[in-house]
Amino acid sequence: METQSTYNYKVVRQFAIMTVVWGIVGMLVGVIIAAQLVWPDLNFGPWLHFGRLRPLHTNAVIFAFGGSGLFATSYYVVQRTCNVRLISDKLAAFTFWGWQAIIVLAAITLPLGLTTGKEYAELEWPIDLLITIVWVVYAIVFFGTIAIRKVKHIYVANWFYGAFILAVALLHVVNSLEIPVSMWKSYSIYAGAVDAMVQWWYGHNAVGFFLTAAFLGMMYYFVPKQAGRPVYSYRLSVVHFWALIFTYMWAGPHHLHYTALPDWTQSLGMVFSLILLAPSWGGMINGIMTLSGAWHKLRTDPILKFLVVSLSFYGMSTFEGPMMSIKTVNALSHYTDWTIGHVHSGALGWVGFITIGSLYYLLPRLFGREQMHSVKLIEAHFWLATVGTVLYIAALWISGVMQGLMWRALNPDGTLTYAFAEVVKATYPYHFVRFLGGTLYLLGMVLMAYNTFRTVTAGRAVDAKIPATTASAHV
Amino acid sequence: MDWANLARSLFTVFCFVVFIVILVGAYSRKSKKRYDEAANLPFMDDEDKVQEAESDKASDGAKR
Repeated sequence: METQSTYNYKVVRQFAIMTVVWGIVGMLVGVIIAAQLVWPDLNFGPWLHFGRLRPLHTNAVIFAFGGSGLFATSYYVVQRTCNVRLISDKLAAFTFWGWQAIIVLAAITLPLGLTTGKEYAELEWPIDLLITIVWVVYAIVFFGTIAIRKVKHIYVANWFYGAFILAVALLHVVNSLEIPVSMWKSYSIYAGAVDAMVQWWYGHNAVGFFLTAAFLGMMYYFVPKQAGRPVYSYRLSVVHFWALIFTYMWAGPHHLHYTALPDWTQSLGMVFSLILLAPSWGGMINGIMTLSGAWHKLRTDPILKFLVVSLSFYGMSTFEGPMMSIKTVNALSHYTDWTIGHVHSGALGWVGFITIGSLYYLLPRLFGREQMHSVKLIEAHFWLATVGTVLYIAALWISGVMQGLMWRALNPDGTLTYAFAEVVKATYPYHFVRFLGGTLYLLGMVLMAYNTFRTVTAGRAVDAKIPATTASAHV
Repeated sequence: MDWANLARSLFTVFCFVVFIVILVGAYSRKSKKRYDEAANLPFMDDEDKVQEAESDKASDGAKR
């Protein structure tokens, strides 16, 4: 009975700590590959060159940092808003160790060059199977906990987390259908344009459901909590949820403009990407307006700054995305640094900030402290991360538009004005600024690690009691 | 193939209608109480609940 009266914070603690650890690892690899683009001499040997480290970077920041953050917060939020302990401690522990094993396997196989070559789905078939098993167990723990909830309603954050778990299961299984030819080599069952379409149906929905819906779940819990007031409009959050679910699934083809994909499919992808602006901004407005009446808290509370700035970057990148999906804009932006800049305005600005803010909220509560060891360090982290992100995306905007313009410039006789190497040379200074921005962002994470270490060592692991609620929502 | 295409069109229309129904449902007066309860779920177990409840009551009183 004793375990019934407390929440399972152990698994949340484990995932929360690993979020910080993998954040530093993933971002360090990012800084290394950014440096390799500025100083190509830094490509050492076959295992550590850009081509092999780049997928390691993307997998580490998305699935290790982002993934651990989502496991931690979803387990925390589902327990706190359902007023019940996780349905199974053993299964929850299995998802932790299973997910960490997947990350370690990725960190070994990717530098060795073992890859399916599918972006954000590089891991080979044995690891794909392990991901599927861990994910199914995650779904059992999450939905099982919702099933035994002690309150009537399912809070909107859990809808977003739930959609994320279901959609990622579907995406992973369909896109990873492959025929193994040896222990570490497999071939996709799809071919040609169909393979490309399935891959970017997966790829864009990984953005939509992993990097957006799930982190919106985080937003709908931690922004109201930190602001100390309920979400601005619950109605809007319901409409936000369904609008996002209905539209995201179809936006993938915008990754394949002007390719062998049928023209109508490209146009369809573009139209749905444009429609996506509405739910995205609806959600952003809902999050930011939650602060109305509490704006003064923004002046003194760096955690709230992280959360609100994350929403600003979310609004910015979800405006930029639909614009870039317009075919004529895409003709300029595609294959240039602009795309990478856009991704990082979402990844550093939105995903990174909301995760960091939520962790700063979470960590003291998991270790029996009032707040983090140092609020000043959170403030410093905030400014390092903000300046880093702005430097990063501004540099790649300039570099990207410049690349696009130089590639399409023609002489009067129809020949290309610039050789490819000339464009590469012109991007050097911007790539250096990008390296600088990334380094600042990483430095912020190092401050966070120190702050976390001091908070954890001064505190002790606690499992909060499940309160007897008197809320009318109670069954 | 024509039937398959018709089914696709109908499915699109179906999705749109479902979305409109959700929209109307979400903004109907009936959902108000349910949603208010749900929106306060994150605060049901709060350590600083007392403080929140007080300020909420104060604003309610002002309205009436």
